Amino acid sequence: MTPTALGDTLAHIVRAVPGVAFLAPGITGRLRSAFQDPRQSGPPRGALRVSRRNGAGPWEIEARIVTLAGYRACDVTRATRSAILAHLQADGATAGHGAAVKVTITGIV
Amino acid sequence: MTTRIHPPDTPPPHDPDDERLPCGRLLSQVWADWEEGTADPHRADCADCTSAVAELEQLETAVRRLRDDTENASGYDPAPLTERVMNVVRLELRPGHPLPLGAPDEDMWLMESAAARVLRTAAERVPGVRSGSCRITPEPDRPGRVAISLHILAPTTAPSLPMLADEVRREVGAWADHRLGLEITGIDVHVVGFADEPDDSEKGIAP
Repeated sequence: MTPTALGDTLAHIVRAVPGVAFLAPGITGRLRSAFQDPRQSGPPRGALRVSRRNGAGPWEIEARIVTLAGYRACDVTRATRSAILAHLQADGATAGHGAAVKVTITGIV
Repeated sequence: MTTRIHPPDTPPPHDPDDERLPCGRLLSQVWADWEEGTADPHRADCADCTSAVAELEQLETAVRRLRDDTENASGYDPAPLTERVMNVVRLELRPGHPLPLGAPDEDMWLMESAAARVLRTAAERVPGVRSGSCRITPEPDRPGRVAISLHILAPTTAPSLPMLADEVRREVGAWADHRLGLEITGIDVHVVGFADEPDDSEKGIAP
């Protein structure tokens, strides 16, 4: 699986986690780019980074999210991390390599 | 849109996501200077800075138009929504430091500005208190834990400032745990002045 395809899949998974409002930095990036290219799609730039050292090492995932105020921030980050890891394991993407997942809350609305 | 977030006393480390304009200025700094009305001769003459400011003006105009378009909708107040949207934009520009959440090996983080906003609101649950600068810093010797330093204006009717500070500390501590999940080592409450009656139109004081 390519980093781009995995990123798109993980974006859907992260958005579905209870307490996640949206991926960040969504607002500024989307509105700025909307004036230039309204056809932009996919996860916001920088909100979900998917990489693999040397193209074959462990997956390195970094998700930046904005959460809902009614949810405990720590619990949402943990659920997000678990959802990402569960998908990677189910997909076989971590076989023999493992994965490093970092989740950061950049805002609460 | 007059409410500003209060920037940390020291500028946060450079965020790799922050865009550097071709002229060398950071986008976040150009926007912040423009929002705060900081005089900058370079900005007036620089095509890159002028363009960046124009984009932010377009953004604010779009948000304002959204507010105006819905202003006549019966029973719907768009102000809270537009304020929340602009808060998110501002938080992206000035995120502060990353604060640890959970166990160190979980690699989970919460940006300081987002946490500070929640904790300032917690402090203002104490009647008459207005909160100002809120700094949250990771404890270098205790991984996963943070210390909080909060400035408040006390109500003139407060019978005891130490008791008031304790009450604020309880509210802030409770929200830090229940709403955020931060592991805190201490909460310093600094009473920096006195407030009149609570004024909902302007939250926060200058840091």
